[in-house]
Amino acid sequence: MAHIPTAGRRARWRGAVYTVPLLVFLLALFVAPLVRLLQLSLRPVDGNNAALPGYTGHQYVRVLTEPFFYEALVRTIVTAALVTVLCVVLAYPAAYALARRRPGLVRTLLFVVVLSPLLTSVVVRSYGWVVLLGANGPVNRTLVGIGVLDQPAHLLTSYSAVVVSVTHVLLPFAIVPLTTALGGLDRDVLRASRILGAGPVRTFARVTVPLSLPGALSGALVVFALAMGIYITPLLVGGANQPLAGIRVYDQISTVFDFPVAAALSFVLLLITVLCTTGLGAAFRTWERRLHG
Amino acid sequence: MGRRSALAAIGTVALLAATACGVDTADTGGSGKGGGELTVTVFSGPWQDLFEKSFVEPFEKETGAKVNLVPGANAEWLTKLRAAGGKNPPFDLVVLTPDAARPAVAGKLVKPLDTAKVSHWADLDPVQIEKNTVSGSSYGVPLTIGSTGLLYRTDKVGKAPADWQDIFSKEYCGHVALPPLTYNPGLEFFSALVTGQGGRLSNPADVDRAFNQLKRLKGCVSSYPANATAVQSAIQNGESWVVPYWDGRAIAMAQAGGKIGFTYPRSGAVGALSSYFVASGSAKSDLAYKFLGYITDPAHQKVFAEGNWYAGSNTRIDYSPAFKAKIKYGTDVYRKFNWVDYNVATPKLNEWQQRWNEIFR
Repeated sequence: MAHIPTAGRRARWRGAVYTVPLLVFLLALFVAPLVRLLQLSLRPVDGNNAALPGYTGHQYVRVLTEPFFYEALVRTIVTAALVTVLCVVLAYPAAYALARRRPGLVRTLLFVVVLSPLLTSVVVRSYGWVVLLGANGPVNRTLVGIGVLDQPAHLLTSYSAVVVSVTHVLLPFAIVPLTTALGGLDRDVLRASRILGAGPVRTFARVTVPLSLPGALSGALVVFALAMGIYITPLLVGGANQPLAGIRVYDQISTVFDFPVAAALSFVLLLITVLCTTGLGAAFRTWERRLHG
Repeated sequence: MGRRSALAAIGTVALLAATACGVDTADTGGSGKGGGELTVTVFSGPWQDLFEKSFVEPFEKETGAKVNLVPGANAEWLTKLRAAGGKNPPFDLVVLTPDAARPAVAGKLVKPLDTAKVSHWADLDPVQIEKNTVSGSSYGVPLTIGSTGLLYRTDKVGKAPADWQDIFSKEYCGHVALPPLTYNPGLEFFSALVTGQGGRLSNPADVDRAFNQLKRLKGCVSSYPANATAVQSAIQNGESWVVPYWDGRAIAMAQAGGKIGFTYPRSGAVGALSSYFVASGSAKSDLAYKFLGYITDPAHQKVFAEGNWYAGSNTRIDYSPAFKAKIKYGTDVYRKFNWVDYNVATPKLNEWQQRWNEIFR
């Protein structure tokens, strides 16, 4: 009997050893640079914005007190929340259709359609929106053609265009986990709901949605985290005057050359993202405990 | 066996990580077949292609040395120079515009030049040399000079703009592309608004006056391009008809078939300069100076300048009639340019951009 615990320990050790390459990889290429970035965010700067030796919290004070930065943070949170809600709402019908369809050519084609944006560069997708929403783009031409507008509208510089384009870019990240969750639903449960008198809407609201919520939440967390840091799409579609934190970080690095404040803004953004996603996860677990007792 | 496999995997990953870490800082030197290797930065795109054709190919052919080009932009090179801190820099020669040159010089990331070693130095334009001089020392070898004026669509605009103030014309309202201050043409335009009427960027009252002028554009702006591609697509797709932009790029667009015109504003275009600097800590100074001799050579500069539509720094270039007809150049012209005072502008940029955002959001 004594050899069993020894074998168990060995198996556990073997399992741990297998994770070492990944851990080394992450430590070397993710954690170490992140620590350097944190260190940079605490550096004072000289008149040319070059980092000096020593430590200070001044960059964080600037991020939290200068409207240029904190207004961008607030707008980023609002935008990320809005995009997350839109993605989850729009993902449901697509994921539902994908999950209910039997494996075959049509399902494969639908998956390709849903996932194809992920196979294309985000820059290309964003420029697609620039073409669509431009003064001579199909959207303006249609609106002018059917008489809704007298002359082309400036769709590209609007905040709405940013929200729509970012939602499009991130939508697949909501659809994929939701499709998995909906695909795993027990059809008998849905049938039971209908047998007990619930209509399709009530079944969807009271059975399908609660049971697929883990998938929706996974998608929402990924979309929210990505939307918090996104900058290429808003920059290309909405222009550089969109007060979003990602664009502010880009500006500080590429134009002002103030790397410490860019690092501080990145860390505040990271912290907010972690707090929001953790809070959302905790709220879901509380809800789940109440549901299942 | 299992332990050996795991150790092998760890070793491989550690080796890969070490190799990856070494990429940016490795000395790319070593001897080429003839005269060694040099690492030089270039702005990406057509600029790089022309640079290769104009300078790199003849240099490699005549010296046997190898030039490794690092395409990119100011910010990433400055980042890497700062990371190197003057030791084993990732490149030997770096091209910078004045906004990035200022922190590079102040941080001693680039070396003062030994101008006696730069061929053709005496033939270089004095205004461009002066723009790269700090406390009496020359740091940058000027390569090309351009200027920011007003680009417009010839097929959309009835009357071409003649001065900066014309951008406020009712005719253009709804069709103005306004780059933000964080994109060079945006700051150059703003600087022109401040200095065009005798003001100074360092005087808050003059800056306030320029912001009050900018308020007149509210509701008239159709796009806020923050890079060259965005400017060009806004103009080409008709989203915008007028934009503060560089002469060389505007003429290049016109030459490519676009219905584009360009105005050098009456009250003064804003100068834009690209210069090469020797990175502090470079072990290839001799070869770097040899290459700078090619960069300043009038024959090589002519090819580059006429391809890019930006005048070269060498005053002895004999430009083609087409170039002379379209581009304003010469020491007297450069003296009349407005120049952005980056010593004032860079520290104020966030504050000004915030004020700009409050007008145009």
